[in-house]
Amino acid sequence: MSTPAKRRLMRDFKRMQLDAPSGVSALPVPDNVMSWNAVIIGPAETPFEDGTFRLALQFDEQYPNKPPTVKFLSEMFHPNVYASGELCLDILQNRWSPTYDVSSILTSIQSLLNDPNILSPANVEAANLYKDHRLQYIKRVRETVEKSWEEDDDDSEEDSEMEDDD
Amino acid sequence: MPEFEPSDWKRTRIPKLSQLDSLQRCLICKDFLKAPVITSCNHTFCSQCIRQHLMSVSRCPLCKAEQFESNLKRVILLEEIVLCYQALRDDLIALMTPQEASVSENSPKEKPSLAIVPADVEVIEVSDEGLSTASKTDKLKSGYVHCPVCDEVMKEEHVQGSHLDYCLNGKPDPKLEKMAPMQKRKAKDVTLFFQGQKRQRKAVSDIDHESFYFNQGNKHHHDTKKIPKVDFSSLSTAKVKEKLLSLKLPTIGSRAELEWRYNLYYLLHQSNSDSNHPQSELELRQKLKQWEISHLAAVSSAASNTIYGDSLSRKCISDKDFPAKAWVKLYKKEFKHLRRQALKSRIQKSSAKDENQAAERTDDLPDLKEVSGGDHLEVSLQNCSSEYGNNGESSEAPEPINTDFDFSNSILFTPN
Repeated sequence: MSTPAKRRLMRDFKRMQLDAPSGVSALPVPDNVMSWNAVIIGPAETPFEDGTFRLALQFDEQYPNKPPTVKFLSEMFHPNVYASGELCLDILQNRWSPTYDVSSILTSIQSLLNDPNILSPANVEAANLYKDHRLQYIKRVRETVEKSWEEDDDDSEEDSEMEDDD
Repeated sequence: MPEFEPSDWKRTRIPKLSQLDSLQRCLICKDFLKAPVITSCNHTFCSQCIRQHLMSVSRCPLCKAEQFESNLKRVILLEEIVLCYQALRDDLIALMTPQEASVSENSPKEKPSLAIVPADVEVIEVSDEGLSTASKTDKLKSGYVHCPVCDEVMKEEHVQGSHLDYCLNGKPDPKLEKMAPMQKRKAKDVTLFFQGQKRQRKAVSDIDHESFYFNQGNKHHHDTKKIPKVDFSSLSTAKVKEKLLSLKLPTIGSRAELEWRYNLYYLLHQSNSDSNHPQSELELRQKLKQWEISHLAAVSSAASNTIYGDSLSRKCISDKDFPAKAWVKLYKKEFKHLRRQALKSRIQKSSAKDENQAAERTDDLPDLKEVSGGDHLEVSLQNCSSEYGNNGESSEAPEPINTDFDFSNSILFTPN
């Protein structure tokens, strides 16, 4: 059944297919156009380089007049990401505009990675290390990058042996 | 050739025509401008899109200048230009596409695949009497799915191929037309919303836009009666029902639903009267009904989440106890594909030298076998400030990326 929100999401989907920005990808889950999964590859020449960061996006019938809820599923160490994975990003809150789409949301998050806003930190520890102990900050970020690879690794292991849980 | 994105022009002899295409689209819905209106800051949107936006935020989406619905003005000429362009677009693209490009377009590996319409999506049956709805699960033959836009049943590959393009543009899909009537869905089930739209498009495409604009000035202004905006706080429910009845709208549902229905009809009506070629009130009521049915379906599927709480795919990601790990596991295959795609998009957009390096990175990911088993998604980030949404002005959404990469090389969704 078509609604403006769903039509718009199908356009966003097409755009991601035909003209995806570098280092990001996104796709609705198989049974629900309103719920998307996404991956952002950590941008080169930043501490996040090559990390595979997984996200989920949840839209409602108000989209694009209301922003989606966006959440990191991968563990992050970033001044503007809460422990829950939720983001503190102005364009997803008070500076949202209905002109944004999935592609521009993801590129904004991608550029937020190396350009944190330390004035209103969601993770105070990350913000302090970023300000005063940059090397320590980079080390902590690299740890999350390596953990994001473990998730990839989980994938390949479970492909061969399914009972590898617990 | 199916039309879709401004980037369709990238394959043609004049790739810059994608700009002409982009400029005729609404920034909110990304579709071609429908009943365009101009704001007092001189930006143009579909009437319905901008009116709906201004109901919640009194600012221009483009420049953020303060904006009010009462200041919107129709742009009669632009509407005709866009309609005219839309009617010519397919032929223009076909004429301007070099032979080789259109051949490679048909190669199977480049077909976009779409994994979002499973066979058991909810189907809403529209009863003849009115808004009473019943949802049932419609089991389809394997390999057959519902198109997420028009709800027609067809082979999965067909939705993934050309159908979606036709469908999103409100055009009849020639392949479906040819199908045996047995395979077509009963007219009763097909969304009236979409039918209405198709019908209207067809009628509009017969119009001589030049003559309409230059010789039929008397038809440019239609005196449709205005519907008043209502302040519901001062009205009794009986009065609200009275208002709905006077517009021949149903009066069933809760108070909130009544208000919602009135406001939606107000929106549809206002934007319809901004069009050079308005629809009849009957068509508007059908549109409203369809919109309402979709809305109810969304609400009821949200409600069923609480009953079938075990359905992980319907969990809301903003829930406190959202099981991120289980989610990642459930969509393991999807994430694997997304990761591959994201890496590829990076390769495509960098130089050949970088391409080699990135390919190495993809193949030789670090060999980290000791997965700790601990819940590494729930560690140590305890020091979160409680202020949420109190942001500086730092990050702006970047401009849409304007790439000129060769479309024929683009690697679309190729599962495994």
